[in-house]
Amino acid sequence: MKRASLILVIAALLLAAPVLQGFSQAQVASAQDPIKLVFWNYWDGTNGEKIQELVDRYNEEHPEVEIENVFVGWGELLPKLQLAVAGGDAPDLAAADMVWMPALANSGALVPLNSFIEASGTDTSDFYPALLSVNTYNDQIYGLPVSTNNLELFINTDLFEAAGLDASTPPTTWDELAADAAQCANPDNGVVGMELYTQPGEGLTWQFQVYLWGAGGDFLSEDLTQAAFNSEAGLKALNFWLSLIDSGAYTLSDWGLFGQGQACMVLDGSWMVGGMAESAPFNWTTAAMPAPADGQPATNMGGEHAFIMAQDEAKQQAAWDFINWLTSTDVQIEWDEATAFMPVRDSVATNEAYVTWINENEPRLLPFVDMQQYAHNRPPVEQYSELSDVFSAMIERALYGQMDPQEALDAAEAAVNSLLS
Amino acid sequence: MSAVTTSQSSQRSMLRRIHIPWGHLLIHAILIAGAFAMVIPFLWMLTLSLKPVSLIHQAPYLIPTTFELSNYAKAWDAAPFARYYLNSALMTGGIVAGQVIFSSLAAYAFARLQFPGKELLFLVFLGTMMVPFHVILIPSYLIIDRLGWVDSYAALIVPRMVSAFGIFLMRQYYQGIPKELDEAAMIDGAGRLGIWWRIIMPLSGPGLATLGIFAFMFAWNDFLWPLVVTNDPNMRTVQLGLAMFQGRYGTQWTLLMAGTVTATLPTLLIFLIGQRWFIQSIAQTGMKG
Amino acid sequence: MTAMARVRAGWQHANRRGDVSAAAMALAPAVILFAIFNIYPLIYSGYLSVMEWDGFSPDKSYVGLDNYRALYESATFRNALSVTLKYTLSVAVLGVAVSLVIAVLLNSGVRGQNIYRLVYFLPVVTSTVAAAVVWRYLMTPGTGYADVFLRDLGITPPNPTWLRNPTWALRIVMLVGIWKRLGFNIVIYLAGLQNIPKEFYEAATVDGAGIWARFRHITVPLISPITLLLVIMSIIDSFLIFDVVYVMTDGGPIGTTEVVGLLLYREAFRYFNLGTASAMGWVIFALVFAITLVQWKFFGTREAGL
Repeated sequence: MKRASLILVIAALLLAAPVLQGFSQAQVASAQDPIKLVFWNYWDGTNGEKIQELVDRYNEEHPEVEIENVFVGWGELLPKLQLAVAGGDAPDLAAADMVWMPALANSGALVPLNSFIEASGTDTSDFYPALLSVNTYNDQIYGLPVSTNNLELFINTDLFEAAGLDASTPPTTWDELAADAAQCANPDNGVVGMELYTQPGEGLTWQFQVYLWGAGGDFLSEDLTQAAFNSEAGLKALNFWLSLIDSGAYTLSDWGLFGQGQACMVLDGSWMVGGMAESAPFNWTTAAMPAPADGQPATNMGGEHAFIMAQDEAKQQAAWDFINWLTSTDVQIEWDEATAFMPVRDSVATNEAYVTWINENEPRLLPFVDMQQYAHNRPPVEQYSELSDVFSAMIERALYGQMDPQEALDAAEAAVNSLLS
Repeated sequence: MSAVTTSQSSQRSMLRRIHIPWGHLLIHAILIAGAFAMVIPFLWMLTLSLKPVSLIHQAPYLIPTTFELSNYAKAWDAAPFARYYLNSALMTGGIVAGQVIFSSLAAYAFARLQFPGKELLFLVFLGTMMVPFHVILIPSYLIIDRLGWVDSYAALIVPRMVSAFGIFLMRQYYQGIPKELDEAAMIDGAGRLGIWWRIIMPLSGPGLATLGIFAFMFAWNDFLWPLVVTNDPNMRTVQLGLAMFQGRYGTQWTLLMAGTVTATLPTLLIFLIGQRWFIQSIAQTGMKG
Repeated sequence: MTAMARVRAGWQHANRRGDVSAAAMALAPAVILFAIFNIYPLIYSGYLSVMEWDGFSPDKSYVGLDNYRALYESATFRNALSVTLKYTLSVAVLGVAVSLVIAVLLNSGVRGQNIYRLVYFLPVVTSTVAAAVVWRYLMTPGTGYADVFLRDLGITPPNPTWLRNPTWALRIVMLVGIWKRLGFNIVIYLAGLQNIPKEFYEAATVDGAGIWARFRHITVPLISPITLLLVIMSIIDSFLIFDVVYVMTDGGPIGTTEVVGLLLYREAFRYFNLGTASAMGWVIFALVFAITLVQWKFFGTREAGL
């Protein structure tokens, strides 16, 4: 008797579980229903609110489509996409970090957009070529840029003043940068002159690339088949970092000193402007990132690109229509004004209303807008993530004095070339 | 009954004689120092969760000096957390129920029954704990997908209804229960599973409470599996909701901390309730020896 | 008697008591669930470990043992194994030893056992990711409380500071690992200590044994099955550590906290090398299994009575 009841309990539990699954499964769409699209992205906070608002408006204006905007965390989006593709549950469209685009485009999981672009007569030449190039694989375009940003100099005005410097005449060359950093640093109070991102991984690599390009170097060869950073420019950039550390202008520390008011300057992204305006307990401004006197202005760009994964042709078309709308000039101006992302199209950057808006609302974004023309993109190779990790690991060794600069560049070159071969 | 009380009180008076005050003070000093190290992150979490955004970079105080309670409301409104808490509760409830029954049932077989291949099977079970989770993530997801369980409570619950840790814990516990009790029941003609249900389980309160608490904590705090098997935002759990505050372009510290404090309360409550029951059970089972 | 005959005899003996059918029923749910959700995925990843696959494309290509060979030759992987071993041993040994001491102190009849137990258990109930996020913040120079507290105690932070220091980063990660597990160990120990008959201590006290002698000759041996359980659990969990390192250091500085779990994650979900990741997973699994088996054989059969 007792045993029988026990077995019943167990059986009931085992059976109950699959039944529970019914809860939230989507209904099968009938012919009259709008086309339902699932759109994954990692925009949160203000950006998340704006994309939700745009999606809602689009749905309202287009009753034949119903887009579900789904937030997936930045750290989780890539694994989720991978699993979803493996299981055949991929979202119909998504927006992801531009640095992942070459690998995604190469994976075969994205829908090529050329025929859609042609059919809708979209002028892709208006997008910055450096942005578009990360989406191009075998002459097919696999995504369009939705948002971008770049890295410029942030200056703590209070610390500058305390050290007898004037933030309204920011450094314009590396020498001035080094001099100001040394003058502003105050080891007794834990104040560093110029904060560097020295943790391994893409964070270090993409900061270093700004210095590399500024010194006139390049990261990979033009045909993307081998490392190009082991050059005079590469050595100059690395030595510049080491000199900042040696002079005491910077100590190897955890990232975020500038935000805490403990660094006079930092190279950081345009996305910081909004948050800093809200929470920084000190006065600050921005300036274009200096290059060496004989170098060239340069910065690195990031941002998100939208792409299509839907298998169904009607869904692909609907997803394209939305992406085409989202990346159109008018919507982009609205998006950039709400989010402080940088323009992805020339027609936005030169739009009078947009420029006026920036001047009136947040002039500290101006250096970013101005420098967008000098922004490079990270090399569009599918192995980029791993390449960036092995590169940064070697640079880190130089920063910690485990290797001399030339030795570190040699080792990084060997590691990168073996990944590319 | 009265004899037991007398012996307990005589024990207690003896302990009082052994531990002279300075010994107790020393013990308290060590325990308090350790306790301080334990709570620092929680005080910090609490303090940060009560700060206005403009003060998050202020010099660190461990004790709250501001009380920005609106952070809690903001964190709660940032996502449909009511739904997330419901999902977490259903998932956790299912996992705890499954663990208490299936893990202890399997543990009983290992602790009390003789069957060929026992040691080997136990090792295989134990082995499941040693697999790096990331390596089975994709195959596991494919199974859930094949079963049609993506975005279901089944996916959240069923694969975790039994655990090697639970089996190990209960087996260890059962070995502390005198075998004579089983043998007496067997002479009375009880079946093996009947003995488990009528003799062993009633004596297993403390063990089951412990198992239940751990299953609860594991399930409540789990991040990766719910992330993987749910795509529908309506199926998300609390921990997935918290990931929302750590974005690509910066962390919303005050909201993250407010959300984390709130999300920690249920496990804390379960432990508080569980530990009382846990102690009562020890007294009830009369196993003090 | 041949092995076969011995098995048959054992089987018949067991079955007479109804054990085998009862065991089959008792184990069925666990066996079924493990087979579907643990064993099969593990075997599948074994298959993936001899393939090259990016996780996206429908094509996988067979590469034999290349993935394993690459690991064998990889200095990064070797470094990660040694970091992981260091971390695991420290967390297992220190974490278990300290928790036994605290459990014994708590069990000594001091007032407020409930409150202490709750406080020590706090870290266990928090999510690992949240705890790691807070600890990273705490160690931040200038604005982190732990950093400031240590300065107030007169302890000057090393240069480079805590989590950026090649010597300190791993130590701090270890401390967080121990901090997170301590309460778990303590609670399990306390449950075990309550099962040690008080008469043993009374008898020993009458014989003149001091605190240390009672601890050494009564507590330690009688609690050893639980010690075994905790050491094995600690080793298994610590060997598979990922979250704490991912959040606090991401493997740096200069690879000093780069554990195998982190490498595996990167290979699978950042570099899209599912084959390499699976091979890594199998190597880790085999190592942990071997370590556990050795402990089990040396201590387990005696202590845990299998």
